[in-house]
Amino acid sequence: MIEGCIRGERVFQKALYDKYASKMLGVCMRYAESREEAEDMLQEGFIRVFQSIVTYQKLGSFEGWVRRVIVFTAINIYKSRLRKYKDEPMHEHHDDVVNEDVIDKMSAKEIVNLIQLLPDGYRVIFNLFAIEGYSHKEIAEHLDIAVGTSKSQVARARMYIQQLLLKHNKSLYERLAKSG
Amino acid sequence: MSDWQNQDKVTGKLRDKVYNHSETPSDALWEKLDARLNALAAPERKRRVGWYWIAAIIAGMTAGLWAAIHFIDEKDAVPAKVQITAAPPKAENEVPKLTPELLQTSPEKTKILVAGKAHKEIKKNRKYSEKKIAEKNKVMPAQPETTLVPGQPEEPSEVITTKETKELTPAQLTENISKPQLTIGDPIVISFKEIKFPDFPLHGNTKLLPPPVERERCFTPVSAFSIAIVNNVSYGITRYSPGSNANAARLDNAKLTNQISNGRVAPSFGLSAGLRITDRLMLSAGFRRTIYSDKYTYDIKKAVSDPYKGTDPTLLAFNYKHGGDSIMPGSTYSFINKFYCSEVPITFSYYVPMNKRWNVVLDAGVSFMKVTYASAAYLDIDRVGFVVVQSLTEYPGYKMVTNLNLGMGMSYRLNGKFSVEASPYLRYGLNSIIKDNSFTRQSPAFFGLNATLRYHAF
Repeated sequence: MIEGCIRGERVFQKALYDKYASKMLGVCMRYAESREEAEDMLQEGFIRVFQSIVTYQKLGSFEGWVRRVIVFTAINIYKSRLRKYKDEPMHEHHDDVVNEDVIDKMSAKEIVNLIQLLPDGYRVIFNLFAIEGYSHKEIAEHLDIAVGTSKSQVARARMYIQQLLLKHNKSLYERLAKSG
Repeated sequence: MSDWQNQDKVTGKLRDKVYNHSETPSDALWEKLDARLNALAAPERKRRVGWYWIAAIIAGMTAGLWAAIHFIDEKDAVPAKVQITAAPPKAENEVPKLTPELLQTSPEKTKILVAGKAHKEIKKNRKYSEKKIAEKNKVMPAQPETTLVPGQPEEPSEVITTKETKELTPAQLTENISKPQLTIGDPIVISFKEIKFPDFPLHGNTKLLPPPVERERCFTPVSAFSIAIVNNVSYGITRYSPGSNANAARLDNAKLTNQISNGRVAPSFGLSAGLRITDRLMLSAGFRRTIYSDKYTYDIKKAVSDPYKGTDPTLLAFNYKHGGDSIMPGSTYSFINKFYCSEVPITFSYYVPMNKRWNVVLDAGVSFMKVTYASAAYLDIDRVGFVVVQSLTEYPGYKMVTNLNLGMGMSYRLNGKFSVEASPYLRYGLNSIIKDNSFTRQSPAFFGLNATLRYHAF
């Protein structure tokens, strides 16, 4: 399939797309604000996958390679829109700590929807650090920010997502209470 | 449990939940992607078509050249041969005195000439003969006994051969002289029979004509107005120097700055129109299109500091301006520029005639060039961890550039309307072809050969 894609044969490109599109859309959903934006990212990402597949040297997992290309496509799209990493105001501060059991009760889609509610800067950095596992040094490198900024942004993103989880939890309890 | 520990657990749970999360894309997405892939493949086809155009232009020029030469030959040539009776000339350009003997033909002395050339020379000398006859006002063509239908001068009619020869008596001659001179197109009555008479009614007796003289045509080097197709193939190099970008000075790569890149062959095609300033000096202006690519390799192994931050010696972030791509030490970063140049050259050409057809041509001028450039970056996947390829359509830029053009070559005049020129030339960029606030300035220089087909309108 990879060889076919290197030759630019559309049949193999379609097969590769069919195999990885769902997973990669899941990745894009975390970086985008909406499903439409995620599909745009996915489209751009696959264009770059097909253009650069010739450089894949079969040393690691192909899925991992595709995922990296998709992630960095998402970052590039994000940067090309000239969004700045500003400190987003934290409107509310809760001393409550989110119980990890709350997350168990949530579906993956619900969590993705919560991540999408994060401000742009937090969302990208949180995804890179917490989900993809990049180091602060790598994040600083890729996003052209200082390492310290990356650390503080991740910390703030964590707090932000906690607030979102609490809010979600609260509304969940309210819904349960209303339903009796 | 501290907040941070709890947060790590929360984060870990989040990661586990969403890392492999997948969603089914809409059905229309593949169709959009397919259309994008087709659109990206289109420029490749266009580039191939571009080469076909160049080949077609060269073939067209060759055909035009052949036609220009062939046209002249065809115009003068008449495919048939014709026998023309002629007496051997006494001396070049001398018209013999008209005597009764001269009016007789000599049937055994015939000369076979190519009809076209003969006709040309006869036509050329016709006026001369008529003038001489008029001056002397003594001799008239003998009045023939038979009437011939005049043939078309361009298409020789049959050669009419009468059966017997008859000498004219002085009385007959005097009688003929007293008759009015014929004009072109009048039927001719021949007073004697055995004469090989060519197809030209007024000048059947070619003894009146001077012998054919080969004449070399002489052309002025510069026409009042001419248009030209100019093709050239050149070898281009690019000179790099630091740009005015604030971070350029921190770019630590000796390979990149103050270096000359690998050369690339750059074909171009153009049209120009020339106006005569003096008999030897021509001013021309036109349009020229050049497409070429340029590649250099940025060796990160040699870089020791971060050109952006300068804070981390172990980590280099060469953050490309628009793509936001980052690369790390130990990798190789190949960068390709592709340039599309639309140029208006204004040139003074000085022609030094060597002989009637050959001229030495000296060209000097300036050209104003709009450069549209596109870039592609290829990163080393193993060391960098990701690959970004900027497609040409995603990264356009524009710049106006002034070039100095110098050339010296030869011009050959094929005929009154066409000439060909070949001249080695130098095109030297006076400023950078990419924006001055980039990391580098890139000034191109081209060495090439101009091949020109010029049509001299008037």
